[in-house]
Amino acid sequence: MKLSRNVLLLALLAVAVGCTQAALPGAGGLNGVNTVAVVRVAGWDGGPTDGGRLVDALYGQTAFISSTNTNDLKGLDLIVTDTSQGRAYVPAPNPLQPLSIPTVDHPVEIATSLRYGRITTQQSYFPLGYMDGQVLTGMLLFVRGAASPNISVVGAADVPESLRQLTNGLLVQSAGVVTAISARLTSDERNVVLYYATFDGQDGTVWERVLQHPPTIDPSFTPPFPTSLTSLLDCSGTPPTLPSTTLYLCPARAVRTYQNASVSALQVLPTLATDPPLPVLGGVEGGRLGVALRVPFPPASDPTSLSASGEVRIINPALRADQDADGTSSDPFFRIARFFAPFDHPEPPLIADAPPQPPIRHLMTHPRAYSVVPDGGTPLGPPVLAYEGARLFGVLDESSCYGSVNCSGVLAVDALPFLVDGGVNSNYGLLAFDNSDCQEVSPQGQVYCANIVGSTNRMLPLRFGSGIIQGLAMESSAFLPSPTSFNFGLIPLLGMATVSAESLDHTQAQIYFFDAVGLRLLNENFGPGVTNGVTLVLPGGTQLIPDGGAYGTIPFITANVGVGLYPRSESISIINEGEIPGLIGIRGIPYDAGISPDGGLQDVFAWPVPDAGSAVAANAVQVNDLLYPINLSGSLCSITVTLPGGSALINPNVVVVGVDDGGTSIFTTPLDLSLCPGASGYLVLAGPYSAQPYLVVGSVSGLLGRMQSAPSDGGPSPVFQVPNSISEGLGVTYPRFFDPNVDAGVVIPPDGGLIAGVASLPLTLQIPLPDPNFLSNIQAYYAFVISNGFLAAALPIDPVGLGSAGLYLPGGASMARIIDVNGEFILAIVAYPSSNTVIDFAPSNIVLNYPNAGAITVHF
Amino acid sequence: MRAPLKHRAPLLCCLLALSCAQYPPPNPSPADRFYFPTGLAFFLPPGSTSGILYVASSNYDRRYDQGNLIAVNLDRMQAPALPGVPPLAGLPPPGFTVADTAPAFQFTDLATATGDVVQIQSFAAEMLRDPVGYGGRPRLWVATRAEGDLLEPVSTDPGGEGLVCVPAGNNCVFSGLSVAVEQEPQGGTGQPAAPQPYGLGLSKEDSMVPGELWVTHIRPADSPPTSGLDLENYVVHLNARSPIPFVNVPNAFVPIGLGPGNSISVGRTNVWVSGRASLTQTSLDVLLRIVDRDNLQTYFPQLALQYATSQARGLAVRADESRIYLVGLFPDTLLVVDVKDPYSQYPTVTVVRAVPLPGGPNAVRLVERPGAGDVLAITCQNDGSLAIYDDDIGQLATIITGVGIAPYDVVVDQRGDAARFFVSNFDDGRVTVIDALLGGPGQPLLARIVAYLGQQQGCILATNDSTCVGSQ
Repeated sequence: MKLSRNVLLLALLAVAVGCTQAALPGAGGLNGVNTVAVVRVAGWDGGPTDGGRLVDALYGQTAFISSTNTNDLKGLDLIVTDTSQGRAYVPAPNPLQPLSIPTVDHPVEIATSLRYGRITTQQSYFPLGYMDGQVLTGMLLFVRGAASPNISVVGAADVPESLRQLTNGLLVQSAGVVTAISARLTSDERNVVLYYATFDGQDGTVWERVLQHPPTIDPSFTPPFPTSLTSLLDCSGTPPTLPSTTLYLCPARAVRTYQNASVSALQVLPTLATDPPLPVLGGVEGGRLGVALRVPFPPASDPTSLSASGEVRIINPALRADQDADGTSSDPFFRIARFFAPFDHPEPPLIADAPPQPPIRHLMTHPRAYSVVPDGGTPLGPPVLAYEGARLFGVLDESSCYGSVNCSGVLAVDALPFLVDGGVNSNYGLLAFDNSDCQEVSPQGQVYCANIVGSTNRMLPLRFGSGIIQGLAMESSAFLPSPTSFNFGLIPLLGMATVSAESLDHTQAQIYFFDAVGLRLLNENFGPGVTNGVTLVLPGGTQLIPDGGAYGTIPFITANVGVGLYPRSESISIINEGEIPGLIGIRGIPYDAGISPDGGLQDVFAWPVPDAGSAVAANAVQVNDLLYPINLSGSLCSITVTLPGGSALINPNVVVVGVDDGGTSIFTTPLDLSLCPGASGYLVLAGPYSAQPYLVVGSVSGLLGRMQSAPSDGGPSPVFQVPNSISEGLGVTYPRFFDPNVDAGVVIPPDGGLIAGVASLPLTLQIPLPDPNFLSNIQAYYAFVISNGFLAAALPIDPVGLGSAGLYLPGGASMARIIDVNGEFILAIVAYPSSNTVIDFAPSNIVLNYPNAGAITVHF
Repeated sequence: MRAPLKHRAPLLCCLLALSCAQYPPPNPSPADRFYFPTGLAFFLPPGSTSGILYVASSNYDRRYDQGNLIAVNLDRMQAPALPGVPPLAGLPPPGFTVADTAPAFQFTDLATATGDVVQIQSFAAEMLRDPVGYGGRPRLWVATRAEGDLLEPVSTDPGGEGLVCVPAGNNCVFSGLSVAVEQEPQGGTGQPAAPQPYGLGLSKEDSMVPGELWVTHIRPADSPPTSGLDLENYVVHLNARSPIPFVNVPNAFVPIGLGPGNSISVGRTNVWVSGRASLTQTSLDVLLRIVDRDNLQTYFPQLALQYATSQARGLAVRADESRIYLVGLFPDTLLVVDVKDPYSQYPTVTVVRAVPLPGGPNAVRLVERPGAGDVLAITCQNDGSLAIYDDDIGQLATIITGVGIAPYDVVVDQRGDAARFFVSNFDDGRVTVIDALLGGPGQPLLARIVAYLGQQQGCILATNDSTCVGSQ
């Protein structure tokens, strides 16, 4: 049978449409993939000969992934025991199916029972064989559902009886929907303290519930694991003795109530020696808690830039509550973490007259970071760069600034009251310092700053392009492929963020890496400035190489690019008598074609400018520019004129004499438009006799401004700079997005001005007297490529090479240190809601800023 | 005296022949129930307790000749007694109390009367109500996707009843406006046309042209018709308040490129169009398109470059157009989009939040609360639920499960801090009534199902189900 052409076309169309659809639930049964969390349950392995030892992941190291459409968790077993096998889902009793652990409906947040402590390592940088202050978890996992007043308590030890939602393990709250959860495991692992927040329509309340935890690290512990919860009515004294098959659960205790605010995130912080015990069970180990508050209406003092405000408080639940949301608390341990100036606050508890801050929608802290270096020079110890919980990271709530970039990115505040040297941290509770004041130089002469904690410049928000930050993860002593730019591959504390922004062909990077100690993006660019030389391009395509002098060793065009200020690397053109972008092919001619009532030509023609071009007209058009009439097809008006010795075809033009303030009309000398039958519009050229005759245009940026060259008398070249009156008139701003390395002590200004040698203008250009070929040819141009000196370390995915087309919207992310048959390595796990899959990869195996396939495993 | 058999036999043959030549008897959609209900509209007349609900039945399996549009007077319905539930006449006004845990009322008797029903084409999609209409008679507009690709205007009396097809009659199939006449295989050029009209939007009284109806459609128009070539999608605009509305070909059609539009909202100077999948992976994204009402140019803000759901369904726009709520599909997500310069030709749109939704989200309805954040109600077809988002917490505040099978559309009756949501259940045949408290001091946002309207259609569909015998 022969298919008709139309049928084939429709079939192709259907296939094309199908290609844009997300995948159906995969073999793993993931459906509505959302978040991911890693559990590692330690245990005492009672060896027959050595008397036993503590094993980090005796009861499994598992990544749990939530599925909102099937209301369950699936577990990806991260430990490989057979080199011929890959990682796989924890199987169900019928091993053909992955295990499905039912949870609260629409699970959207998973909280591990978290503590920081010693883990085993095989890294040579830790000759004693262990790292302190690393992530440990208990066997209890807590799951929050969307729009749910319930929390699931799940057993997460990788043994058959444990992987389940515990009987009676659905905690039902009556105070409203649960908006955030976080849980701490006590250092003896005998209790878990769960914190959760509810919202009752007006106020947010933080609650605490203490649960029993089986002491798996105790030599006396033996499975089976408990499978149920037993609620206690009174936890004021010691708990009753219960069978080993069940865990006690204390009543909820209200810790704080915040009026007219909701709690958008919680994060337990590592317990300090000074933290008082909780008033539960006669004194359960306490600890501080990061609380992100959101006030859902614009602050009275700044309603135009913030649609909602917020703050982060570091509270100690063992102490008396701060009841007042306006900050007039008497709680001695109360802190407000501030992001915006002023930062010179009196010490606790408050910053007087501090401006409103945008809210935070996600909180996270980190394990201990050590000063490790990959070239064998790691000092013995090694010394600590940042203790666990030294910073509290927060994802800004993008919905709070009317779409402005000011409410995007990741910030960090200092969350420890002391420094690594034991001194008082006067910055406790305030925006952290980045390491841009670092000039660490490697033996190879390269600047690298991965092992430096800054003390001078406040960090900038870590931004990873446009879109929404979807996931955040951190891990200590992690390798990235070498060479990365100047970090030598080993990052003391590697941060990873996933973002939603993508390209239509699904190849743009959506996984980014950052230095979580230095609090800067990892820069993979070698340097700013002109990268490809300068070419003079003449109409017709002839290309010449201009000589800057000294036999080509002096650049013809001087370009200085402010690293972290100029947003893109692109091709720049400096054009002689160029058509002004935005004023090309404009429809409209002067009223009555410029004819006066008396039949003569008006003295001044007023050419109408549409709204879309008015900003350009008002800011970029100069006196003595040239305006050319065009017809409907966009062709220039042509007139045959008689000259001595014959006739010639010319394109008539008029000279600009002014522009009205709003850019709605361009005024020119008159022209008899009857000579141009069909004239219906115009275009404007930068005139040779204008004050700044040359256009500067970026291949991506578009019109950057206008400039002039050095004068013919040999005088100095005027400096062209961005921003300028044209870019400002067009509403283009250049917020700093990355801090360059500067000498210690330099305070980097947010914008503008040359400070202590730090380039703080996005772009400056200087051009000598141009070549005669340039000056004598309309639309001749100098072209050169500039690098902005910045390329964020990122992982693009090669969907073709990987054979998986749905990886264009990552979700939650996690990282974990694994020791298995493949050795010791950091593994990153990223959920992909767009394909109902999960990927894993070792950051050490990827190629930065290059499409990756081989290093990535997709779990369907 | 009876005729001899030999004389009667030719007579019988004649009768048989005649009967064979006759058309089958009319088989209109029933007026006492909904059948694959889709589009909804609501009106609260002065003096009414619970108002009038307009329900379009889409006749999805073409069991009947056409679909229909029923005006249900909610004060007149009857709910028979059920175990634990007394009989009830008329739906009580919205008044949800937390302590109220009574079972939902089953209003199986819609108590429809003459003038409450008109026939419309099958495959009804979205519906809206124009409170002004023409000649003192408000109008309902419903888009239908079956033969004729019709827009069907229906006028009502000021009290919301007395349905009449515009300009006359009670079968709007004969009076509907085709938006795809150029798709006629015989004589049509193919374009411009809007086959399978789907989404409707009406301009507001303070906009540049009040009473302007805008329409999206699902199937791309090809040229020549049925060729599958030169595909194009359009939005169509027309005067909804002219005595006899008409579609001006070609001036009423604005091309919007590849990728069907889904829902549409008419702003002061721009029209906001949500879109289904792009046709090719690298074509411009159509999650959101913006049409300038002045110069009729289409702007592609490429929202998918910020957050790539594969498709979009319903959208809701704040009255001041500073924010858009867009329902994304694959993955199922509510996209919160802030808009800068919404009245310019090229507004800046920024995705500022992405909220995971239960499976199969479709329609969204916005409730703006004075002095508090927005509330959104989203039907979730696969999950059988209504998800309610509260912008004060930036999360879903509640999910009403068990709403019905394949919830499709939702409309709201807002009264201060209380709201009543009506949800049409496509595969269930009923409309679910959900009362909500919109939150406030010490009072979280709560909602519960208080009633079902109509009868389940399962027994109509499951003709071999013995438990259904006698139930129709």
